Amino acid sequence: MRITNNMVSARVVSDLQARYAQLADTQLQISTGRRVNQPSDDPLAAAQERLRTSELSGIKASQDSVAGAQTWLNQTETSLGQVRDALSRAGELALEGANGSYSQSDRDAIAGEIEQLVKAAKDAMNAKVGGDFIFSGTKSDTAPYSTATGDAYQGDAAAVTRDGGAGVTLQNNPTFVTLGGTSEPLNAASVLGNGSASGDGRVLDALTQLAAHLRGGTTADLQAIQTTDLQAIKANQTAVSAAVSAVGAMSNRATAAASRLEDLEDGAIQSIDDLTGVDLAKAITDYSTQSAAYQASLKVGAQIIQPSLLQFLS
Amino acid sequence: MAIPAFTGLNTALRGVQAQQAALNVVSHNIANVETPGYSRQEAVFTASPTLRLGAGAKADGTGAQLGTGVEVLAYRRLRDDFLDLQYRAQTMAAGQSDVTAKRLSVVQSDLASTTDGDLGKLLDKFWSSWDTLAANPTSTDAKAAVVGAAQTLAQRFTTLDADIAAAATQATTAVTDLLGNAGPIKPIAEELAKLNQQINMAQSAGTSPNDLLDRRDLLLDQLSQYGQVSVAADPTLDAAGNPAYPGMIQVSFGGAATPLVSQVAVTMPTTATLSATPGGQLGGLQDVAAKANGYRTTLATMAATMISSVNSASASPVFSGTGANDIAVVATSATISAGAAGAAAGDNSVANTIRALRGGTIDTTYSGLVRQIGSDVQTATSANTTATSVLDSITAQRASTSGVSMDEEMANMIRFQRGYQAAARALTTMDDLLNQLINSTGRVGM
Repeated sequence: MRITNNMVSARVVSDLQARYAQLADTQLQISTGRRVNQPSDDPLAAAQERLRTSELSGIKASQDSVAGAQTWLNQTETSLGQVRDALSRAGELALEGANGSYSQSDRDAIAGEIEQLVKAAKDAMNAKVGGDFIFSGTKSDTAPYSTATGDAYQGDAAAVTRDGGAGVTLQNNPTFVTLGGTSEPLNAASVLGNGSASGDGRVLDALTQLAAHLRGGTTADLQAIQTTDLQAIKANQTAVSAAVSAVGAMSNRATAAASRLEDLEDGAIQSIDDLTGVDLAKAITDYSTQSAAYQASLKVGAQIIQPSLLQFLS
Repeated sequence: MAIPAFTGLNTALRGVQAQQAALNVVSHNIANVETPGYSRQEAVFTASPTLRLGAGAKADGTGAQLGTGVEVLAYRRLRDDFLDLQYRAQTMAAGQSDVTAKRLSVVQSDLASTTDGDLGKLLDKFWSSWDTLAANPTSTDAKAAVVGAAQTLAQRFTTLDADIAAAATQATTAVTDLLGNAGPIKPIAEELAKLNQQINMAQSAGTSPNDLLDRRDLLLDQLSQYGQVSVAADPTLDAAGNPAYPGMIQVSFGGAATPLVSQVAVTMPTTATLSATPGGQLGGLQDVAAKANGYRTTLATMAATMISSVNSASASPVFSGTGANDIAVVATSATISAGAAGAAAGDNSVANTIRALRGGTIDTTYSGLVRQIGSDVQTATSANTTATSVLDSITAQRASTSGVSMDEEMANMIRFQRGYQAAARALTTMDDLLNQLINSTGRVGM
């Protein structure tokens, strides 16, 4: 094939262009750390990366939700602890008050303390986490007990659910077996109840009855304190323990959900990296090779386009 | 029979003239080494008609034929027509894929960028804002965040739709511009018509207009990047059945029914008269417009699904509009609610339904769109790379046949120069002979 000068210089230029373009490509991959910098580099990988990134964002949101649920459950446990303390103190006071040797004024004083314990229990149930009342069911903007409404529970009996990851739902107010034998979600009504007016025998009812008996002071009252009131207190203590176990179990579930989400997060990040990330060691090695090839073609190209017959004709 | 006295002079003169003509051709080639579309020429010599000598020219009494020197038979243009056809086909393919790749790349970087403003990332943020609301149903901050994410998302939809629509419109306008009076095709067509006439006149006179033919081939090469070019000899026949206009060509462009150039008439095609696949840049631009409108349709479907599924799940409407071009947010942080209408403040059923839409139809449609546009750009880019490299190879072959090699021309120049010197020497010798004959013969003893 006949070769002209123009052919040779055109070929030199186009080859240099190709080498340089390849070099620029590798440099882009190294500086961004990604093999796929736009969808046209690998359309399928880009599309899958989009879906994985969306999943990852969902996982992160679920992690926040689980953390929120754990905070809620921790506060629930603390509040239940306060109710448990109130009940044990009430039990001690009941034993004291049942003692026939106390005067009526002493019994009145004990009744006063019982009434304070009732207030303390209600305060514990009025606990909030970040602006939400945690013992009102889904009516988290309403306090379970207020001074205007007395012992009547103002919240509802719905379950408060939170996302715990794909296919996992956490319940912030876990269901437990209440006094009375029914399974109810944990709220002020299922623990403290609606007071003496409802006669449900729960904490408020039991303690109010106890205070009334102490103030009454008759033999029948003292008898009642020793039997029905103490039994009521014990039964309520069992119910509160059941509530605490339910909260503990839900807390464990939340921890397990958090750890599962961490694994899912790692998996998603790894999968994204596999799809579109660049192997830095390989890329840098490629760059060195390509750079050397480019310089070699520059050198040889420069040498081939220069000589001509004109140099040798005199 | 004697040879006429000045025959030798004429023979030498012809030699000198022929070598001079060859040198002229060499210097023409050297002058045009960088001219685009130039095909090298050479002077083809042939021995000139012999002189018939009558009886008695040779010793045995018979006649003879005496050579009378050299003539230029033709100034031959070295060109391979087959390579020209190949070149035009590849130029057309390269023109089409180049314009498609460039314009779709712009749409691609808008639609699927790696920045935080990417539609996919905004979708993620929108779903996450509902996740946060589901975990904090009474929080006004969470509600405001939902409204903010929705507004950013709606705005991105409308901006993206407008951008892609603009890309499609620009492509369609570019087609009209190319075919218009100010476009590049009309001047080429008009010049081709003029050349048709000039070449026809030259060929009718029997000469070979090499440089005009080069110019015409160059124009056809330039034309082929814009659309499909097919060339045929003018079909008009004269009474004897021979071509009536030798040298004229008929140029069909873009698959239009009426030829672009026929004899001296120019008929510019319009967007309506072009075929469905005109090839070249015209075809590429039409392709871009069609694809961009396809992306818009998918985007509109995405937006419509978003509007209907979010609004139907939510107690009060979140979005208004019907598609990507008019999606807007009507909810405020007061009307956004995590729960159903009339439910307790801590209810998060609505938020749960909406956040469950993550990873559903909308997200998969978007990732499908990303893959679609990525593969469209990838196809165009690789078609362009292929066409360009085939084009390079054909250009090299063309240069091999028609290109001027400086070294070769130098060597030829020396050859013809020596030839000229030798012929001039022969001329001098003849002159000397005649001088002897004319001035010195018959002057015996003077």
